[in-house]
Amino acid sequence: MTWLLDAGTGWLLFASLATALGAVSTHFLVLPHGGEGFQERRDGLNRSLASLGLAAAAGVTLALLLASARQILEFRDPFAPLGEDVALLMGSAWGSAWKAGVAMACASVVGFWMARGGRSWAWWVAAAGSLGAAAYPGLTGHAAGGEGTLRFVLLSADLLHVVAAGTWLGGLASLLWLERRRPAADAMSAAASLLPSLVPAFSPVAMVSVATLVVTGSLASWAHLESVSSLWTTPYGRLLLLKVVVVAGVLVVGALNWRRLTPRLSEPDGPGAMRRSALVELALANVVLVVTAILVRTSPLGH
Amino acid sequence: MRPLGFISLLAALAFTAMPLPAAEGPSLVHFQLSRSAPEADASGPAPSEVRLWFSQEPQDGTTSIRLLDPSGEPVHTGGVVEDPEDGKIHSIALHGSLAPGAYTVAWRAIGQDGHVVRGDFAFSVTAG
Repeated sequence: MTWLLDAGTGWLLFASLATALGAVSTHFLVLPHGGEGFQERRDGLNRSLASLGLAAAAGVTLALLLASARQILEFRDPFAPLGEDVALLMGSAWGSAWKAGVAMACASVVGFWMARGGRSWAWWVAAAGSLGAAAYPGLTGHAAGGEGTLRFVLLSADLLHVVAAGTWLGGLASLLWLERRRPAADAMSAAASLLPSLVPAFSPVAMVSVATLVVTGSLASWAHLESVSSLWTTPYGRLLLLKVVVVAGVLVVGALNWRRLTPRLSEPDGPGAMRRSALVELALANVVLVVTAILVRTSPLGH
Repeated sequence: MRPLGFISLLAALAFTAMPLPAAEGPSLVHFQLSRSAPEADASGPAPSEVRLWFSQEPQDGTTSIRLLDPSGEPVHTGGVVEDPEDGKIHSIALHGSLAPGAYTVAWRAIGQDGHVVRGDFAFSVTAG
């Protein structure tokens, strides 16, 4: 049952974080480059995007609450009062990181909430809160196990890894959300798909994100695996291998579909085919998040 | 090269490069119990303390060491003390001499990576 709670809590955290970061990156990096004739639609799209971000930020907050419950259950000393254990836990480095994560997630909720009302400055609050919350997995995970410079490098790489996953997968989810919600966001252009405008603006962001994921993922693998053979001789290594295989599958299938479907975006059935393809890609990406959720709770040691 | 074409190329690179560390890593230390006194499964006279050596310093205040008697009830001991010269060493002092029998040491702490790690081991006190 513990692994189920780990996987569920971790998936909720990673999926919510990715979506919140994707909403932010779509606001700052994709919508401003949506092409000519697109700018007048931006206000409505930004409000719709803020609604998605708000739900995601609430998900991050819920995941952090579940994480604290899980941590207390694991930390529990049956011969000590519960209040004593909770106080010890919250006074630890883990507790400090958790409290900072909750504060950042709450700031993100407030930012997205205000952004829904059309306040452009609130996006900066949402961005700061989402980025701050993105540091939580590293500060409470394997990356924090190093010392000195190595610790700083691994924590930075972990933050970049989470942000890159968010701008890629969360960005993809944001595009699909905007496409699905476009009648409400822009009733005058309900029939027109947004994808021919948004995909070209999203592609460079996705490109940089994938490159960042490759570099930071490789760095983490190198740091946490004792040897190459650990990939098949330890539970951690086998999970990592599984993750990489599924990630590679997502990347290859996604890249092939996008390459095949992007030229067809201007055709009548092009956007529909792209939507279906992207949904498959996102579904596979969620499998990756579940595996990652178990991976980060597994000791890299061979037992 | 079109942007999405480049994504395909990166995908291929990721498929081959990401899982394979080119060389052994920096041997990160992960939190675990290295050794103890008394040692696990040891048998001998009653000790005056239980001392644990961890592979790295646990997070402050998170170490718990419980000594359980043969019936599973906690033995009254002193609090957990961190060695002032080596934060990886923690101990509890025992009040009075332990009666002969099998005892269990149950320990718990949080490593620097935030993971709760716990374990237990047994030792026996012999008469005389």
